[in-house]
Amino acid sequence: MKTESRDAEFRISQMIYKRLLLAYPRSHRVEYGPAMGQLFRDQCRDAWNESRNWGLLKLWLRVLPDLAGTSIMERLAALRGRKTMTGKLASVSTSGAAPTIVFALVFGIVFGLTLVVATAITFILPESYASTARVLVKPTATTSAQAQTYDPYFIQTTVEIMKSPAVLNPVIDALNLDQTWGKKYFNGALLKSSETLEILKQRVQLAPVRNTSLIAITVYSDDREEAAQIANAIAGAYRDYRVATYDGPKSLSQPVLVQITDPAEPGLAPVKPNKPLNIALGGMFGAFLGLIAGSLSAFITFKAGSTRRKRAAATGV
Amino acid sequence: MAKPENDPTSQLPLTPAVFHVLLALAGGERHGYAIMQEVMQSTEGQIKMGPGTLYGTVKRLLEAQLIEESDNRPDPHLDDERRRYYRLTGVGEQVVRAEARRYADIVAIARGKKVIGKAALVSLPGGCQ
Repeated sequence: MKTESRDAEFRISQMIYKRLLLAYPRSHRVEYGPAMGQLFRDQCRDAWNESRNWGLLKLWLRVLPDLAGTSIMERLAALRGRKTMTGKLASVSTSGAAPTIVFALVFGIVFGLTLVVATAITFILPESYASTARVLVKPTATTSAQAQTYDPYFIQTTVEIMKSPAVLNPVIDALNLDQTWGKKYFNGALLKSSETLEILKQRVQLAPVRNTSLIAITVYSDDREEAAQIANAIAGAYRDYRVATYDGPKSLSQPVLVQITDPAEPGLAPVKPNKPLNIALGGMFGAFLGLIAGSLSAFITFKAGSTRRKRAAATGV
Repeated sequence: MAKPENDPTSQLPLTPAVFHVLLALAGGERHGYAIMQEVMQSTEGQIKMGPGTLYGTVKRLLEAQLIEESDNRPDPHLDDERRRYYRLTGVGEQVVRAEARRYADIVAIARGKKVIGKAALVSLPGGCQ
């Protein structure tokens, strides 16, 4: 399972990197493209072994500026007809290239690279599914007078109880989360209940539905089925808790204090990351960066050109 | 970078990337990934070269004839045949020695002025001594 996941992420990363090599001039790509691709593949393997997805993300954050910088250098060197990568942007800009061409080139490269980075990061980030179960909760009334009394803290107290070990520990036991998550995230090590509880708390979101006695139990997980199972298990565990702690009149049959109105269903699509939004933001940020970089490059080109013209006019050459 | 001339000092000073790649190859012929790892290890992870910087540098060094491509494989059975190995040329060796000497002279000056102590020698680029 892990190997399949690794292979998929490797394939995506390598595919993106291969596309990004188009930023280099053709001659450089033909000569060094395969070797660069192979080196990147080796780096991917190291990064994955170091810290899996986070390692890949760090690698991309290191590789992309490298790629952006060196590809611009190679492109500008190629434009100038130079054979090597020597020279910085300013010196290359003295080649006499029109500022508008430099602007368009730099803007295009920066914009494209930023967009690709945003897309790459979006696709590398682990997906998260959400499932929500809704429960109707009623307070326990020991006397008829109490039944008519409004308790403003009831919903808030209920939410806190739902997040407590009294409710969540039975969920952990019922779904065997110590073992499942240990196997999934900690190389098979059996987790302590306290550790599993902390992880579970981070994945659960409880929210009262306005102007009702309903509480929405939302659970996030990278597995859509698991998210729904946990949400339903929490609803069931809370219902059991209320039954077990019922201290109402013994003579009457026990009223229904918790009703699961909407059982959770597995989510159809991941809620995180928001791919269209991330890519759109990446595009906007890329345009902004490209505008700055392009303007700066065009300005340097213009200044260098005017200095050269003045020098030529002074020397008569 | 210009073509090598008789005097290796005419190539100096080298950029850090160029010097590190030459130092890595001073230990024997290596492919791109091995060069990158050697640089990372010798600088204790301070310099992590990306593929763009590494192969840009390799390209410049090949053009300057400080390194050359090698057809030899340390062990063809254990290695990927597609990997390209590089090694120092005679001029490359002279240039890397000259650059190391230049650093050593600078360190000697700094030590003379008590800017650094003996221990600072190990933190030279590539850990040269």
